[in-house]
Amino acid sequence: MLGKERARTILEQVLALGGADETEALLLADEAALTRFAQNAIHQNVAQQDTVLRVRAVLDGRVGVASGNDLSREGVTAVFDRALQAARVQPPDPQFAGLPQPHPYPTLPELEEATASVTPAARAEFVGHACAKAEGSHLVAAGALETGLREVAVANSNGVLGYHAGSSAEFVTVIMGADSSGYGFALANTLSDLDVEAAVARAVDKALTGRAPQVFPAGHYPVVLEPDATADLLGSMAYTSFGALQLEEGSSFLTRRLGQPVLSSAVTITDDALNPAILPMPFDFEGSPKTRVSIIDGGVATGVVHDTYTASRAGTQSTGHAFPAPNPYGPRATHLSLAPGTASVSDLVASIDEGLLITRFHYTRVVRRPTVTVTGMTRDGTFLIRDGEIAHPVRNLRFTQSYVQALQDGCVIGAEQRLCGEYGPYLCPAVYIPEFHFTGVTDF
Amino acid sequence: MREILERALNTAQLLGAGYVDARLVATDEESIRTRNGAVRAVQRSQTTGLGVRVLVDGAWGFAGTSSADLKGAESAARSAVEIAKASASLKHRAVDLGTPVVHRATYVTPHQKDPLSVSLEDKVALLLAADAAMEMPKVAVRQASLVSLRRKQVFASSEGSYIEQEIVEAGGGLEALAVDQGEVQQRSYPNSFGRNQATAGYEFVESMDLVGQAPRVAEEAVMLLTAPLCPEEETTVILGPTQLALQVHESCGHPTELDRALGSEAAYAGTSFLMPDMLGDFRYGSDIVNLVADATVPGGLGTFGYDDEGVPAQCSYLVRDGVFVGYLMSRETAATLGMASNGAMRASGWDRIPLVRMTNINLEPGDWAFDDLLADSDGALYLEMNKSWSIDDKRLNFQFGTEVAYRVEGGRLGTLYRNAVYTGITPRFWGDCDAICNRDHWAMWGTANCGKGQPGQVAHVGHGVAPARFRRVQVRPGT
Repeated sequence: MLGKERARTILEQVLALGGADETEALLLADEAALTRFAQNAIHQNVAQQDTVLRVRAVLDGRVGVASGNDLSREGVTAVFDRALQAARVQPPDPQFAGLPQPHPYPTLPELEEATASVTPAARAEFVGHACAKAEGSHLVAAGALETGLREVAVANSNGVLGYHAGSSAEFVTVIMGADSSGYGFALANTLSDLDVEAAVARAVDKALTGRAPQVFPAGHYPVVLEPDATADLLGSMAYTSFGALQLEEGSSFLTRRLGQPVLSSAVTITDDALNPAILPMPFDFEGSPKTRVSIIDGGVATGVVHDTYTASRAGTQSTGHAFPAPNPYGPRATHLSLAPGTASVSDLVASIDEGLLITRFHYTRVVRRPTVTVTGMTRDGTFLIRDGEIAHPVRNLRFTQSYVQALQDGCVIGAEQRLCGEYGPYLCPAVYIPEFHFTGVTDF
Repeated sequence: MREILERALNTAQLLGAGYVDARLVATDEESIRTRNGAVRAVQRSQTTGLGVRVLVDGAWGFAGTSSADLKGAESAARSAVEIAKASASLKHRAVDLGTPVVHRATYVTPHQKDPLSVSLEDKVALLLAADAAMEMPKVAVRQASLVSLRRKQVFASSEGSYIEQEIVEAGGGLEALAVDQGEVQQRSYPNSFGRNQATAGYEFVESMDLVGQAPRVAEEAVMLLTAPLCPEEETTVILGPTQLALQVHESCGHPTELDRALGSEAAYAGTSFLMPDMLGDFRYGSDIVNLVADATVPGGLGTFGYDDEGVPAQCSYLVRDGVFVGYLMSRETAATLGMASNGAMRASGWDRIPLVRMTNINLEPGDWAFDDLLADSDGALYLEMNKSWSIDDKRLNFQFGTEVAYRVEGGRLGTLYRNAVYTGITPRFWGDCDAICNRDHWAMWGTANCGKGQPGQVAHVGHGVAPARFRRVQVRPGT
């Protein structure tokens, strides 16, 4: 572990080097270990540690960035010199409004060091339990358990100085039968809070109930998306539309529609990196404090996330969503939450005469940005709903669907949120969508 | 350097490792990106580290450290052994690497101009000139980028290998995003995903003529805004080179990775429809379809001297005369089939274990001249340059979208359509391939964003293709 004082020493060493009008130093230190399993056995098992220094040097409105992992005095100086050299060779960027000014940071819980130092034997024990559960049901488990510690320290010549250390524990599994599979995911700040058992139980249940899937024709059907599928809707919208740069360029479905209803009044989406339960961060990668951002409130478009660069052009303040410089893709929402409704999953299923229950999606890609039209496959448990009840499992289907349209009139939001992780730590409930467009089926 | 690697090997062996390999990797990478007339990124990254992989009691352990010195080597070796012992507590069977592999060698990417020695000023000026040449009404975003990379790597194993390699890469590209009245269209050059890239020197970038191509790229993005939607139909399709490279990548490259077929990636990227019992008799495509894994092609982004287990770069068939005949393999996975590795085990850096990865997966050329193919394909759709890509976890059911679709009319590319997507099932699609262009139209394309593994790794791989024709393809508008 780098530690606060060692981090501060390195940052101050960078800021003491002369030649730039403004200087930013960012340290990213990672210690992570991951135990991977397949066929009910560990087949890959790794650990790595690295600390990277990134320096952003500003000279007459010209910005250069360099990085390196040699943290000796000479190494640190070399990174600064390369950043300065990069700044010198380019024309001024008239839209660059300077590095952030200092602001107070919110207080977050202290680091759980036990998670950072978990042993390989302890990880193997967790994995062993998961594999035993699968084996006990004559199923085969694959997946990974990762534990880690990340330190982020940032300082700039305007007086910004921040340090944050956080731990994380993540478990994912796909448990398979001969013709079925189930998915389980768990994410927590600490290993002690990681509910591996519940994730394994969900995956085993889906693998057992998903046996002997039948081919179901492509078409337009109502669906219930379980939370991991819902997370894909939020992830694709975040990628295409919830950042200020996409809004500015006109490719976001929120462009020129802030203040207007854009989704169902049942839909409220926020980004909140300060929620202590889901890998919180007090500041972003340029040292601006994280803020809670309302993106959709009761179906009305209320805002997008900013970094300092986009905020200055929009005449507003950064919301604390900068990524490490240089970042030509702009700020991104990372901690999204879809506010829960009141219906249980069984209520949602009961409302459907003929439709599908979707566990999650696989390999989704945006086909058309302005409507957030996405194609992908269902995976790890797709079930036919008939007369308000689960009838039988079906083989995976391909869909091509506008996610904006999916969350417009008629969608109903489930009552129970679950932490989902494919795109980031998202809090998602199940969602009922009255019409979802399935465009193909795998009948090979 | 040798002393550091030997310290890692010796420490691990003294602690009980039956096999050890260590890689010391130093990467120097420069990336430059311009956006709408401004330089948005000039970055130089230099990182060094050591990765140590061990087998203890027939189970794997790996540790990577940025402390690439004697102390770091010893610490990483200890950590790897401790991890391997934990792996051994839940192993399926003892890992068998097959026959020992011993090589002492050096390899340097053939190149003319070191891309990292070309001045930043010249590179920035090139990109700003290309950016300016894309400026026109309705083009909301103009982007241009260059990448230069040098990776020096030393591999040593307890079997006696000691291999020094220096891989040099250069790449660049343009993107224009046109926006009008709620419609958004993109054009890219020479490939989508930001650029084309090769194991080559800066001469590769100079050959692209980025400034000369820029106006056409922007004009085509604007033309697409008002082009008619691609109609829905089952039709004959000709895939242009970059889209065909993507098709090969997704529907041949990934499913022929043996670790996927054996279930190692089941929880993440998925498995494969190509199972070992299908080797030698499963019809993957039509008789004219020949696909090879060739890590020796000059300039290929998946070209190197030795893989990350010290196995020499080589060329082997995956599909011959339409029949599935081979996998991409590591030493361990090959041994499960009683075979030897074909040199496809690669890590993205010192901090990751090697995985079975594509090298250059190439569709061998056929015998058609492109103009003859157009003349023979009236009414077909010519689809080129990937815009969206999705395929299922067994690599069977795919849907790909392209930036442009042209109707072939009178032996020429005629009406332009927007938002074309096509879909299919892998072996049926390749089974309907009835024409492949000849070597005059064959070229290598670099894919620098191939993701796999947990923790995630991004590999640089290549694809050699010439345009090819496919019958009975379902095409529709991706509205």
